[in-house]
Order: sequence, then C-alpha cells, then structure tokens
Amino acid sequence: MVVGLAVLTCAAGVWVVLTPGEPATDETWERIQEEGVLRIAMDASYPPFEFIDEEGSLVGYDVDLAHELGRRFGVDVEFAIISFDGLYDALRVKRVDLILSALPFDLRLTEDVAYSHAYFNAGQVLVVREEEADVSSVENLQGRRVGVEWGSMGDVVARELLRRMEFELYQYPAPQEALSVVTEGEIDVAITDAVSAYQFSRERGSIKITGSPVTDDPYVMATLLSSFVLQARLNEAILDLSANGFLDQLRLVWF
Amino acid sequence: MARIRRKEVVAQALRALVVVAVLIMAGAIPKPIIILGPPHTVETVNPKMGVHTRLTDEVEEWKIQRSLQLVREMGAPWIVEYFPWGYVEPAKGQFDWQHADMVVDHAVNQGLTVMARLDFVPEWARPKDTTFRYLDEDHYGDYGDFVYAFVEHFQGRVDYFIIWNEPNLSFEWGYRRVDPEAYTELLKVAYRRAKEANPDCYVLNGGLAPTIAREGNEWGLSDLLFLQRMYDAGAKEYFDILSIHAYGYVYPPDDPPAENKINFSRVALAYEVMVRNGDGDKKVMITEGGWNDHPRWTKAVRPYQRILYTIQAYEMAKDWEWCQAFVVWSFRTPVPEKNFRDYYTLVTTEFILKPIYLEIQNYARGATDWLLEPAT
Repeated sequence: MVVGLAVLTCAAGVWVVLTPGEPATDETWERIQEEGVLRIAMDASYPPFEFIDEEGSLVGYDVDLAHELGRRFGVDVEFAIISFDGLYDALRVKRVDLILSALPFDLRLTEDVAYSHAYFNAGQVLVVREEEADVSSVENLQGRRVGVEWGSMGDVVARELLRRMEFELYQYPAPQEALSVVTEGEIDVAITDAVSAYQFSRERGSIKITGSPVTDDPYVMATLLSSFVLQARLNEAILDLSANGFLDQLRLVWF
Repeated sequence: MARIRRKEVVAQALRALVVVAVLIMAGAIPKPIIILGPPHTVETVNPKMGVHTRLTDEVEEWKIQRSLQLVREMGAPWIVEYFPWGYVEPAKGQFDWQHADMVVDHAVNQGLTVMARLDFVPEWARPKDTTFRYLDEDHYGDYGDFVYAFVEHFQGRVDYFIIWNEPNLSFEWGYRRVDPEAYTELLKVAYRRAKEANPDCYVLNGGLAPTIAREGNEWGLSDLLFLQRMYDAGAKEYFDILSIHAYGYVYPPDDPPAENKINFSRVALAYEVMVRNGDGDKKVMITEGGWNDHPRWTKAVRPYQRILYTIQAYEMAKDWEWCQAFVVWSFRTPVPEKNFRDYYTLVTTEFILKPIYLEIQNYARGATDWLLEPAT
C-alpha cells in the first residue's frame, strides 16, 4: 500500500512536469525593450546615493549605477522621484520597472517583490589606522580603546559587545570625530557605518576598514516577481560590475 | 508470505505514525506562562512624557509585557496604542477583544495611561478596491457603533480615545481630497457614541499631521487651516482635548514656529487657533512626534542631536501649561522595518536598549547632565 501511494505521487509529478504549459513571459522586460526606456523609482533624500544637487539635478551613486544599467540594456533611463513610502506602491501598480534607491533588503516583502543581489553593504564596520595589523574582527577589541558616534547603531553594537568583553568605549558627536582620533592614535578602533568610513578615508586617508562588516545592511534593487528576465539581467550586471571594479570606482567617486 | 508482508506494511505504517506524532508534539512547544503580577506605578520627574508603543502586530504576550515594562522603567506614564477597527470587529457585531485586552491589561498593570487610537476600516465597511483608510458617510454609524462598543468594553481601563488619524492627509482619508467638514461629522458621531458608553471618557480628534499644504492641494491641508475649518463646522463641542503631531525634522525643538515651517514648536500655533476660537481652556496632547537619526536621510539629525532634542522637547512640553503630554514616535517595532523608520525607535526589535532610551531614562530619573553635549 505504501509503495502504491509513492508510485501514485511520482506519476502525478511526472504528469505535471511533462504537461506543456503556457510559455513564461516577462512583460516588464518586453515593454522595456519595445519602448527603449527603463523606469526607475528613487527617493532623492539619501545622499550620497541619490539626492538633488545645488543645480537641481538628480545625482548620486545609484543614479550613476542606473545609467550604467541603461547602457548595458541598450535603453534610456527615466527616474520617478517618489518618497520612500510610495516606492513599493509605484512598483506594484507598474508605474516603474525597478526600485533603485539605497533600498534595504526586507525579508517580509519577498513574497511581493523580487530582490536583486546586494550591490553595497551599508552596515557597521571596524576602522583602524592603515598600519594596524592586529585587529581583524570584534574579538580583537578586547582590552582596546574603541570609539563610536554617540547614540548611533555603532554605539548600540559596542554596548552589546561590552556584555561579553572588556574594552574602553569613547563616544563622539559625529563619526568623523571618532575616525579622526583613530588617525591620531587616541583610540585603537572605531565602529562606524561603512559610508562614513569610506568618506573619511577618501578625504583624509590614514585609515582602513578591517575584517568583515560587524553588521549587515545590504542595499538591493526590487522588481515585480513576474519580471524574471529583468531580475536575471540585473543580477548578471551586478556580478559583472562588481568583478570589473565599476562599483568600486563608483564608490570612490561618491564617497 | 502474505501474512509476513501484511505485518511489514503494518510495522511501516506504525513507524510513520510515531514519526508524525513526535513531529506534532515537537511543534507544540509550550508557551511561556505570563503573570501580570502586582500593579506598578511610573516614577518620573516629568508626568507629561509619553511614547507610541505600536503593539498592534505584536503577537507574543511576553514581548507585549516586556515592552510596556520598559516604557514604565523609562519613566513615561502615557502611551498611545493603535487598536484597528478591522482587527477588533472583523464582521459587523462580532468582536475579538483578545489582543486588545492583553495589551490594555499589561499597560494598566505597568501603571501606564493608555490613549487608544481608533481607525482602520474593515473590508465589510468600505467599497471593494479602497484602502483601509477609506470611510464614507454611509458607514459613519458603523464606526460609531464600534467606538461605543470599544469605550464600553474598556470602561475602567481606558479613558482617552483618539478618533481617526491625520485626517488632513489624503492618504489617511482613503486617498480622497481631505474634507474637514466631513471629518467633523465623523467626529461628532464618534463623540456622541463614546459619551453614551462612558460620559467621563476623553475624546480627542485624529492627530493632525504637520503640513504646510495650502487649500486645493491634492495631498493634504495645513493642520492649522484644517483645524480652523473644523471649528467652523462646529467641532468645538465634540472633542475634549486637541490631538496633534509634531515632528522636528532637522530643527531643534525651540526653533521658532512659523505658519510655513514644520518644526516641533508649530504646535503652539495650533493652540493659538484654539484660543482664537474661544477654546483656550482645553488642553493639547502631542500624540505623535520626535526626531529621526538615520545616517543619510535628509530630514534626519545626528543621533546625539536626537537625544538632546527629544529630552529638550519633553522639558518644553512640561513647561507649556496648555500641553498635557508629548508622545514620542515610537518605542519599538515587532520586526525591523528595514528603512528610515527604524531610526525613530528607542529600543530595537530584539529589545536592545538604544542609547536614546538610556538617556531619556536618566532624564526621567532626575539627571541634568543631558544639558551638555557629549565630551569629545
């Protein structure tokens, strides 16, 4: 009897697989190709990723990334500037094809939208002097002098670490001040967000990000679930742009 | 042979049943036993401190209790909590009080005063393809029935009721053009029914959102203009306390108010509207507000500024005689929002106390060194 049930189940599975169905189409991708336009939603309130500059133009890391995607897909790019609360609605009602807006990955929405690979991690990182060789993870903070921005997520992380290890915690009004005192040798390590660390490094040098990020805050792009071709092309582009150094170059331009 | 084969099938079936039973039992992990315990009181130097708890979608009782315990320990006696109509009355006349009772009972046990925000239209009370913010006049009576049932059910436990939310924004009015006169009619219905259930309760209007949108704007109307039109439509006798929202964005709390500017002290202009309409004896409650410290949002401030501004705002509310409470948005969310809204909270989803929580707690315990900026 048990074997009979198993055979029935397998037969049903084979029937489902072999039954010819409708060929899958990505209407979003077809529309993009036909009209020659990729429509992208952005909330222009998050410099340096997207913001309105003094001349009134939309600029930023994500804006340049969007133009590169357009170039790779052979289409123009059109931006819809929408406040964050409206981004997903704009995608759902097909006013746009894609959200590219320093967008955090949200596990709760994975049944509604498809997320791309991450193209940037905005989480908290460890920052040390360039010549420092002994700190490569939070485990190395034991006994050291650690600086954070007062009240920030870096401060939250540090206070949590203090529950299980001992180090001196120093708090500063801004991440730049914590990073400054790293370069001056007054503290050993700073815990700041990645963007602040990169910005400081570009402007002042003398520091480096060490080890893996302490927290993860991946930025991704979002499309409709049915936009499977667009999604595949985006992922292909992200992997390629990461491998060929384009994303690193973009980071150096903007922070 | 046939007998041996039947025995093998039976043995296999029994083994499968045992596996299934074990899996079912493993899934039925006993829930922690939550005990209310003796009633508590809030100790604070500022009885006007409040926080928005937003436990609407928090399903685990121990997290509800823990959140409210932390609010008490922070020193805030007031909470605003959201009780969606559609959750409590999923079908006309059928009420599910379980979650609401749990939240209220734990809040009362912690010595907190609950302000209940009542909106969220159930599907049965609105047309298809409308949002849960859409309520037309045909269903004002149904909303009134719900308000009556809610006020009556919680008599003795909840005395403050907020009727709707931000009716001066199109989004909160079902994406229709805002209508102060229609909202005033809704307020009248709700007020009458609430007083019918409990004559001693306090009815607040839906918290007005700070906006400088002018007449004719499709997205909203200035809170000040909306309030004046409410008075013109006869709202004066139909609310006991003014509910208003106050976000500081990038400005400190004492940045001077102006009609074309959104900052914390704008609420003083709303009070002036009340005075002009002969309503200066009534109090104002800031039922939502505060600052955000996202690292990159253009409307956010640095985390240390958020700490200082929030505490300064609590002090300002204490000094304003016409202000009864300032409720900060927000305490914690059941799951991370994964966007700028996470930077409004005081405690993380995992109950990690953010530095702002600790500083507010210090202030509520009488510390004065919050007046100084952190040492460099």
